[in-house]
Amino acid sequence: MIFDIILALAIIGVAIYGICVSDNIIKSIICFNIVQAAIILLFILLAGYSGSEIPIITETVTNMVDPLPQALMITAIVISASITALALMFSVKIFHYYGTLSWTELGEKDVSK
Amino acid sequence: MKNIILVSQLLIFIPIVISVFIYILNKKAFNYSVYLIQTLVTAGVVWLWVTCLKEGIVRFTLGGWAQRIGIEFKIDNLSLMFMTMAVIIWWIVIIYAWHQKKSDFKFLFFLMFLEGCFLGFVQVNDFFTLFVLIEIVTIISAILILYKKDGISLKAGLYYLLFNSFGMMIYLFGVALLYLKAGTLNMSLVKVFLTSQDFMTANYSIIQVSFACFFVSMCVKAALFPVYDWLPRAHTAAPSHISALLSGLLVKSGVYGLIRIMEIYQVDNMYQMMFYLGFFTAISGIFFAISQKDIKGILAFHTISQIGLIIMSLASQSDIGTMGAYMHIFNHFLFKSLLFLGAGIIINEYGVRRVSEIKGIGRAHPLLTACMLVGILSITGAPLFVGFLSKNMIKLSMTSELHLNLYRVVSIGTMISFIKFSKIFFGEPSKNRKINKGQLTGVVLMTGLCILTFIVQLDILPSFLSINGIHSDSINESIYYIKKVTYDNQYVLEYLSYMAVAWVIFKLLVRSDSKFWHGIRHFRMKFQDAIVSLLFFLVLVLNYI
Repeated sequence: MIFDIILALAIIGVAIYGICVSDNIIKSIICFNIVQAAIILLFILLAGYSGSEIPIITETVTNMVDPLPQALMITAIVISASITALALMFSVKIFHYYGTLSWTELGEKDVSK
Repeated sequence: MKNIILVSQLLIFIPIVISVFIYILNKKAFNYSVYLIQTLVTAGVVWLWVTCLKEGIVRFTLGGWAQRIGIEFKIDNLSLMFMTMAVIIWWIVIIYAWHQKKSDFKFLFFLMFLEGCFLGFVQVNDFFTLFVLIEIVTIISAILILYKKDGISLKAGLYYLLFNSFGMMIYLFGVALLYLKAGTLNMSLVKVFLTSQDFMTANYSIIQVSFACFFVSMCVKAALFPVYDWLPRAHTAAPSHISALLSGLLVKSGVYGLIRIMEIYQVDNMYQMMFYLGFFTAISGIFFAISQKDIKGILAFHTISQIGLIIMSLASQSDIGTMGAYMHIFNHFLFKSLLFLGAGIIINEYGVRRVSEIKGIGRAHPLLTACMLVGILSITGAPLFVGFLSKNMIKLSMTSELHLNLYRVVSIGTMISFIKFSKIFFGEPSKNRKINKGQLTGVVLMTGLCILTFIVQLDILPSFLSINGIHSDSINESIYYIKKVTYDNQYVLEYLSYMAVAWVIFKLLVRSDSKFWHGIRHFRMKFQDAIVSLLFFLVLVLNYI
């Protein structure tokens, strides 16, 4: 149990490290996506220990998993997908406009204008 | 009760559904239905005010679910205030931008969709639904920021979207931890849980981490000290009417979240930090504002400094401080939107944004100048203008002499930045073109609201508080005090002496464009650095609580 949670936290850590060091916008978006996926994983894991059976009510089910986090996380996945799509679209437009996808170079172009 | 549920849900769904039809039908005549939406929403908000004044706080759960797992809505005085602000600014934005945008069905779709989501956001009483609605607001406002689709606004929009969403990821992490411990995400039940007996004996650390996550993510939305770099980019790159919307209303969604979270968690030792956080936000906002040459840059950084002032007031932990913060949220919304809309007219006319290249607005457009002077005098806290009331309330809430002096520093700094801004009114006018009637109507309406608010604000306050069932003697006393000093000569003198100090400092230090100011003006964080500073801030908050 504790091993799963450590794994999820480690994924978050790796992805945050990726955001902090990568200069490319696409890499930032990918790392951002990994953070989101890892947090969703963590949420599901944490809720998963409340029971052991699938949350579909039949006569025999006694200790089912709490179904609420799963419902919430589906919404979170939708949000994450739409943010990723929008961010990728913006970066395509930025590439057409400036010809680069590096945060540093984009910052320098801002000053010279 | 059924009526209340119906009205509160219609407020969310009318703008969303009709805006979808605007997008699908794509007919010029149908675009006029935004006025229909606005009329219905205004009627709904007025009805809610009347009902809440009669019945107090209203709560209900949707769909007959249990309170623990359902989506609960709560309408109290703070959400009513935010709904009123939303209705006002959407009227003004539609009137202001109508001549350019009346056939632009995409713009109207996004604008009205945003209104529905925002009206939902301020009513909801549930951590996860709050997260969903904040994310929708972030996404749509990012689209509106880069609506011009030129390079700078594209960059600003992407930065805004990614940085704010990263902040909200931290929020989601907090939600996960909170659900693990509390077993519910309903704000009222969490508050009950946090004060209950079996919680007091249990392990506290995970709840503390979740608090830190919520606090930091809301600081990102509210643009506090180390994490505000997205705000000036977004607010200067956006079209002027969107800047007014962002700077007047949407920045305050973070402050709204902060108020809610502090109310639920009641972490007492956080307030001291909050005061200094607010102070540093205010001071750094002022420094950047003074260094700017861009007319919208000054206004954008100035928003940061005023948010800092609001946080300073909230941190005093007294009734007066909270009330001062509420009043300043509303008043700052009025005059900052007014100034952004006015600046939009000027930029449209001159085609430049540098303060030094704009001259002679005073002679060319007396009406516009009068309106913007009302805004400037309000924002600097001049007597007989709306900012005076809230700034005095904030001043009364300062607990020690040190805090009072820090408040005075912020106040003088505000004046310095606006001395620079007011240069645009003097000199010979270079061009004299006609201003669009619709834009001018928007600005004049906003000015009228400023003056109206000054007249009625203190009288409305007691009944506004009575919605939450608060009858505070200290607030009544301070209302009486402020009413008394409003027409007092002494305060005019005090204002003038502050102004003189500000003018002297401006002449001595700011006028020449030295290396120092140049360095501040060109200081921009890279995205990676901003994320690092966000994480650093998170660690700081975790250490502090």
